[in-house]
Amino acid sequence: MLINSVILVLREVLEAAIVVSVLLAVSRNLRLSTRWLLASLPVTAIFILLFSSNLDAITDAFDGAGQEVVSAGLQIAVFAGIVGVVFITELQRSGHVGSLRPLPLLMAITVICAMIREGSEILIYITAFAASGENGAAVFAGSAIGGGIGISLGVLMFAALRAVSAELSARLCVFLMALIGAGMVMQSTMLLEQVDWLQPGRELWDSSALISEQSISGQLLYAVFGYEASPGLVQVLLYAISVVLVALAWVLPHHFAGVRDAH
Amino acid sequence: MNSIRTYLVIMLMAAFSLVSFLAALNGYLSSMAEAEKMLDTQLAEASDLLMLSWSGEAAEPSPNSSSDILVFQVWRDGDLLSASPGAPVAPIGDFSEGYRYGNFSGYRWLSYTRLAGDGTAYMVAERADLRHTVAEKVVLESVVPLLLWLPVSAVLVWLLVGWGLRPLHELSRQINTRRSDDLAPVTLDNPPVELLRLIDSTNSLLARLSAAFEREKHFAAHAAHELRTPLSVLKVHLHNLAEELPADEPALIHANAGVERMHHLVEQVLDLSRTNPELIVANFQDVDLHSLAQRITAEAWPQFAEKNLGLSLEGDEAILRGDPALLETLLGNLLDNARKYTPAGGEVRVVVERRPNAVRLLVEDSGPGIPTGARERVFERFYRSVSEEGNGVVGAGLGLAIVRHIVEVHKARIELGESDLGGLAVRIDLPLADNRG
Repeated sequence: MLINSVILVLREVLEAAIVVSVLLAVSRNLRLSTRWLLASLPVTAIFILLFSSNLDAITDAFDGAGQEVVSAGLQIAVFAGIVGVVFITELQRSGHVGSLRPLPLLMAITVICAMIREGSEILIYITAFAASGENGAAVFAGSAIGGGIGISLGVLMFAALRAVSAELSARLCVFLMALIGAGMVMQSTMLLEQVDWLQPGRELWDSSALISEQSISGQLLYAVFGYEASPGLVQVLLYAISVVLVALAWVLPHHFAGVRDAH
Repeated sequence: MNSIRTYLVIMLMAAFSLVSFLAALNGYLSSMAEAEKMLDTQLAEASDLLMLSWSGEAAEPSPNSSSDILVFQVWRDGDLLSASPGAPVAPIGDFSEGYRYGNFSGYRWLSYTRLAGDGTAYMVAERADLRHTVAEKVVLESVVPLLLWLPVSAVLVWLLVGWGLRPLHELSRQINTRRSDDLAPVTLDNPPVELLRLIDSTNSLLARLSAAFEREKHFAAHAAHELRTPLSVLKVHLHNLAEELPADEPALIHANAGVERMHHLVEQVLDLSRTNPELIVANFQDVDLHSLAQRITAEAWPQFAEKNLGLSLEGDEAILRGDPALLETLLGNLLDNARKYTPAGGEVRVVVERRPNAVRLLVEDSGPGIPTGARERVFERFYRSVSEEGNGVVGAGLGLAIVRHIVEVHKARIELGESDLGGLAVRIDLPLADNRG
């Protein structure tokens, strides 16, 4: 039970921790205040409580597909937030002064969306075991270990992003945001497939022999990059489109700046 | 992170937690594997025990088996010879020797079958969920304390990092608390190697600054001093020329004015170079500002009378700690300014007033005053207003700069305002207590 708790909580926490640490590093690179993160924490806590206390109503919505649809919506919102952050950051870096004003709010919304789903899942998991009274110690210990590993990895990732040069840090942040964002889209497509809102298309490959989705590494890769051992055509296409969108948000501001300077 | 301590504590705790948790996880998995092995062995030994202890008597199994922890069966040639009260009627294991997972009585069980030489199968089964729970409980006994002690280790790390950063705090304290004119080297007892270079660099910078200040001070003093002699010679030659030329000769008038201005400038530069704070404060003594003002005003009276200006002194004895020569320069400069800018027939008043914590020196005149916007700028070195230059007033723009410098040396406060006489009022509050020692 302990190992199951570790994997479940780590999977959820790691995903949110990476989003938070990358956005925090972006914020520090741009010399922005990090108060947006402090402000977003109580808001997230309120939303987590609301989400978990209304889980039955959410689940029953959309003909029983409510939980999957809401989760997928939150993941797509995180992806949209990431695209926005990349675009605004690069706009500023390309010399468009004053473009950073909406960034703290956008980062706060992105982090809140990333943490609501993960936080509510953890809360439901822990409270369910606490109510049953069985395996309590194992669940709590496992959750603490999983959460601790996830948060520690996030903190150390932030330190690593701050330790390298500003230029390299900016590039790494964009790279990580592209992977996490595309991973979010991948996860949302899987959720929408589960409730038949999306057809996966024909299976393109099967890498379960290499990394099984049920293995620890498979579950962690799913959390971070939306790993799917046997993805369908639609999933791969959406993943590729997501990466391209982040890349465009990275490149276009510099292109506009070049055109503006030429005039 | 703006605090090194907070940054270090967070990073150290993150690294420590990650390694500890991964180690705990690794320990948990290894311990669980060991426990599984041990429980498997126990199950096999239980079947051996069953084989040795079974008497051969048949016993009816219970059709309504309960969820016991351990059950057994004895089979021979497809017949169930004996079973524990909780065992089902169907075989709980394979008829070949070894372990097997199976489901019955609403639970998952692990069974072990021991085959005797006569073909009798001795089957013992144990509830799989309970054996995991028992093993996990044992392992958790070692993992949970690690989690519970983590906050304690965080507090320890916080304290230790703070202790480790003490030399940095001490260095920062030394630099922050020293006086602005204290350029002595920074010293730390047994400094850590990481700070040695910083201390060396800081001390080297302080030494260079000190040398630069010394050079500046000596240069001004030497230059002004060396200029005095040729100026005196020039004055003598001009005096001789005046004997031979008519008194209204324009070239002579301009030459005299130029030399006078140069003389004034040299004297003021010397005054400035003499006002070195650390030397002066050490030589502070009790000064009666009123009697000093009496002497200065008496000395200045002829020049005031020449311009038909009224000069008065008010107040009583007021003792303070200060440098008499500098206070004399201060009052002399203020009177000189008042005399220069007050039109003929005007009035200049000096007041020395004893207040609870200070002695107030007030010099006011009936001159044109200084516009509010220009009051801060008149303290700048070599600042001269447009009207000053236009009126042909002799001066280098150093008088009030010297006054402010002397005020700062005495930790006093100066304020320019409007006088009741209609002109400028200079108020200086010289503290009593602060100047002591």
